[in-house]
Amino acid sequence: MLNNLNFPALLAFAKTSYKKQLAYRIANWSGLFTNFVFLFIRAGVFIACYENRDVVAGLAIIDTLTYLTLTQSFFTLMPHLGSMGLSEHIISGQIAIELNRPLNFYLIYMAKRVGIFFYYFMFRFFPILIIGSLFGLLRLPTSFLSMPLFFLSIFLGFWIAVSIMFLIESTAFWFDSDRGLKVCMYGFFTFFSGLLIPLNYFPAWILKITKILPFAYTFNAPSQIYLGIQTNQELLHNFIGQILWAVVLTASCLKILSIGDKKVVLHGG
Amino acid sequence: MRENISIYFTLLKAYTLGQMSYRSSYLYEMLGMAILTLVNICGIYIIFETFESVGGWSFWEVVYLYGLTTIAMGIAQLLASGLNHIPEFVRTGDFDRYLIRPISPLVHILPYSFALHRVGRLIQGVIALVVSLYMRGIDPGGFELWIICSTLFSLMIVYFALFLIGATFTFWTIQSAELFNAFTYGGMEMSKYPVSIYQPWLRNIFLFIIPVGFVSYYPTVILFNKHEPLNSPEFFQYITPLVALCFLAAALKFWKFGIKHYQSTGS
Repeated sequence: MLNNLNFPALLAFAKTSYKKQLAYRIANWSGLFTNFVFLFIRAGVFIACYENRDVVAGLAIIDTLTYLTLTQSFFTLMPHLGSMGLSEHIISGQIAIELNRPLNFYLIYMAKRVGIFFYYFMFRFFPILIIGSLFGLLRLPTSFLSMPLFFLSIFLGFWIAVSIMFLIESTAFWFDSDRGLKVCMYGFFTFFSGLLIPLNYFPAWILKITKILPFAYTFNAPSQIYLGIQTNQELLHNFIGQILWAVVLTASCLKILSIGDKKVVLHGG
Repeated sequence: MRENISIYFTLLKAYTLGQMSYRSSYLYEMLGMAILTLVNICGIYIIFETFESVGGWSFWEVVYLYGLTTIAMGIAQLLASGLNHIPEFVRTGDFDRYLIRPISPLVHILPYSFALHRVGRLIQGVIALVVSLYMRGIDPGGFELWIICSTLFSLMIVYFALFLIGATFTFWTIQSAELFNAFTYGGMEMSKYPVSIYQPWLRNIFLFIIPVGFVSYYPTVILFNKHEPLNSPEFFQYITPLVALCFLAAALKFWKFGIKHYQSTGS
């Protein structure tokens, strides 16, 4: 399956997609603006909740605001809605060309996403953290020693999110459209990842469900590392969970692609 | 006017029939929408489970606001679905076609790609609304019904006007309405909770500039007989439909201004 790992070629794909993204400067500004409108509204709800309270579920108000700011800053890093092109490729028939390339399509796809990841890392993630801390919505991490782990965890979260989306979009090999499934997945994603409500507030029985799903290993895991409230053992569990899910999902993506490869029937004459 | 309405419905029928050919995909999409509604209500439940009350409002009262928002936004999105395509039409130059036809370009473009599957969202909103009223112990008499319906109407009008303003901006920007949609969808996010809980600067934007908070908050205060911490003048509670209509009139004016100054793309 992976007999041809041509790193220079993959790097070229990543670089090109990074450069392509640079062209959409205004779109990035308006996206940044949208992030902040949502961040302020979400923060407003929790500020009202914390009236006369100090610490709830182990979180002080500044911890919650930090969590909200972090998840907003990961919003574009970890794709979870919209389309990333695979299903369109399958439906239009372009996939035939993609599958005939001398490199595995999943790797090309990932390489392109990595390019976009680094773009957003520079032009969305950092600006949100900087502006967020200017507005008092972000506190410093508990330990700067955990920062390399934090960045690694973000990257693993990105890898997991992209792989989930890849699996969803690849259902287009079998069905005409993946739109319905995507909306379902978006609902699960926002809830179980901690994007809607920080997972720290979840009652125990919902947390149990959350722990067997991959979603918490995207937005929640790096946020917890940054906050540093969890015990070292919990953090380690989170981290191992991320690595396991990244491996499992990568294997599933490669497998489904090789099945789809045999199944693909092109439309048109 | 009457001619415009009949043209609108003829076009609506044609577009809807065209879309009916992708039925199974829409079923999944409706299921997805149901999940989305469910997890959102779960989110509200978790907040109230943790904090008991938010700014003096109870769980079912906030679910009512959620239902209200979902229905009003659902109808507004249905009515405005054609507006989403304006950036694309402007970019390709297709918009010129709409301008040279003998009917109002707005009437012509609104029913385009009418998204019938969004009706599912409406049904969930209605369920949330009815259940919340029942659990809150509101017995809907004539007065309550009038408040609920007029709030829905006003909120729907405001959302629609926001979509219209967003679409008009794209005559100049030729990009998607994303920047302005921050206000439209931000307004939707905001009206899921009583506007009184937000910090003054944020609250005032959604009360007096983009009146999403104005039209959803004040009538709901009367409905649930809540204490009103903002000490706003009492007549605010009765003029919400008027505020919504004024906002729509301003949006229409802006649209007409946009059409007048529209310059086709290309050389």
